Amino acid sequence: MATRQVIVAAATVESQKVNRRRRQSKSPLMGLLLPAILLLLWWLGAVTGVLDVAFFSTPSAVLRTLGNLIFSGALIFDFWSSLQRILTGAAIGFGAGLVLGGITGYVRQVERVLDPTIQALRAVPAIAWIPFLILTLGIDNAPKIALIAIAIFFITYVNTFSGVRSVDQKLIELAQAYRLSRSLVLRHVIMPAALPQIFVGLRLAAAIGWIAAVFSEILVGNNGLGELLNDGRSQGRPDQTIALMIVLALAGKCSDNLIRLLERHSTPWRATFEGV
Amino acid sequence: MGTTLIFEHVSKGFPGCGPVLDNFGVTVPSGSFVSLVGPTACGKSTLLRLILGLDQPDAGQIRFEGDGAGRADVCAIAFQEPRLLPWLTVHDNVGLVLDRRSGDCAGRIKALLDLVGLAEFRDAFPKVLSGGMAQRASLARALANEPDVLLLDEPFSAVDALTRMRLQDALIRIYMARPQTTIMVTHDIDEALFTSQQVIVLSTRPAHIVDIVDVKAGYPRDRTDSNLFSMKARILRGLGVVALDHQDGDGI
Ligand SMILES: Nc1ncnc2c1ncn2[C@@H]1O[C@H](COP(=O)(O)OP(=O)(O)OP(=O)(O)O)[C@@H](O)[C@H]1O
Ligand SMILES: [Mg+2]
Repeated sequence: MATRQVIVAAATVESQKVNRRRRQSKSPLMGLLLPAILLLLWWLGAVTGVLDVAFFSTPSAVLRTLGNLIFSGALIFDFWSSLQRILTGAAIGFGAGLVLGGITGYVRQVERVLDPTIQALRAVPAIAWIPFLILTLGIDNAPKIALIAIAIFFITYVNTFSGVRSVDQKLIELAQAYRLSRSLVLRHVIMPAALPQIFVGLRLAAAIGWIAAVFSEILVGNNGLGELLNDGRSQGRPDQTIALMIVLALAGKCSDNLIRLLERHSTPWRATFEGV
Repeated sequence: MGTTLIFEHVSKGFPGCGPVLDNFGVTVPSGSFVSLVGPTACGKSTLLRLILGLDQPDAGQIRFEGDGAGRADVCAIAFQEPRLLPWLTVHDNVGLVLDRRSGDCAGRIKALLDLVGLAEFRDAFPKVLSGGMAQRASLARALANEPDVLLLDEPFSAVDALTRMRLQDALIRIYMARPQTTIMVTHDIDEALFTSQQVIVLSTRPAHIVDIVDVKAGYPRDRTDSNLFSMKARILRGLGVVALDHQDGDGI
């Protein structure tokens, strides 16, 4: 019996490896297919004159501009300014959303007091905060960080809350039956159970972080990717705006991949459908 | 040491499904091994939940008598479903409930996993366990703190016949070494007769006691004991499944 169990265990590991290999080997190439086709169409459109170069630029011009922006240091500098804002705003918004969402999810009494207000504030579109933030915080870094934090806060709050509420009642009963201490229940029952939903929130938060950052920079920019985008528009240079859109697409994709990687590593126990 | 469980006129119903337990009364003496058998959905699991305090009876009460500090520290249960935490390995699932003050935790967990035959899978997550393996992990967890009152809800329902016998033997060994009050729900009458000193036969919902069969034989028991076989007929009669022609000796 013991040997059979060992073989079964080995087989499981083997099949997991095969699965992983299959996922790794196929997906990146498949994912590049559509961008390659779009690039080809763009290039064809540009050389045949179907796409007006004054509006759509050309792949080579965009590539050149991208190179110039990188080597002049402008892109690095502005990218870093944007990223810094996002990271600061995300730390504040995510932290606050995690704590408040967790507490309101766990304690019904706190939910009764806090949740209605938070839900009402959530209904205010993030953009509607901008005038207020400019009036109170000026036009420097602070209002931009605040906007990012606000947008991320609500997303994190909602997802953490529903993550906590999605904990299987049977597991809570188990903890009750074994008289587990509250801190054990929080650490080993509620937090791990809420984690998948929190990661959903984090992925949405990362996306909304980039949106809020660029949006506020376009509106009141001293630096950052949004400001570079503004430059491209005011100088009538589609190559620059397109180059920056590509940078944003890549940055967004990278941050999302990073979070998914983190998610896979912190929830190896999940036994949910992964798609056929 | 030891806790006596006294059920006094316990009744329990659920909205929309009527009474589940009706005036249930029995005394489970300290250190005795009692089995509950009864038709499905008659209220056996509900009874265990009442003992644990996860639900409150509508009427009557369950008293704990003994030197334990009430029910707080004395009960442990293997639920009908394994209820393992998916994010903890088998080892950590058992370790989570283990009393940190009880000294050599690592050694204790290892001994428990050896007992239920899961030593190879100590670092596996529950998602890779079979139903029977998960059930055994749950049993190891229930035994972890050497409870005064051990509640087992169909603990061996998902394992093969041979493993089941070995686990029954192991359970009896543990019980003989340290006779804790044990209440086991089972659908397997042979299992009830092999392990327990008292078999309580319950009716269909609302459950009341049809028969209480005392099994006097000492441990360890002989599975082929003919006395046990005659008691099996009595329990089956209590459950109402022995056809009349069978009683006449014609067989089926
Ligand atoms: N929380 C609940 N709400 C409503 N009805 C419930 C609830 N819990 C149990 N019941 C009902 O009580 C009855 C008894 O359930 P219980 O789980 O105690 O049965 P059981 O004797 O353990 O059955 P089985 O042998 O199938 O496990 C069932 O009809 C069930 O539908
Ligand atoms: Mg049951």
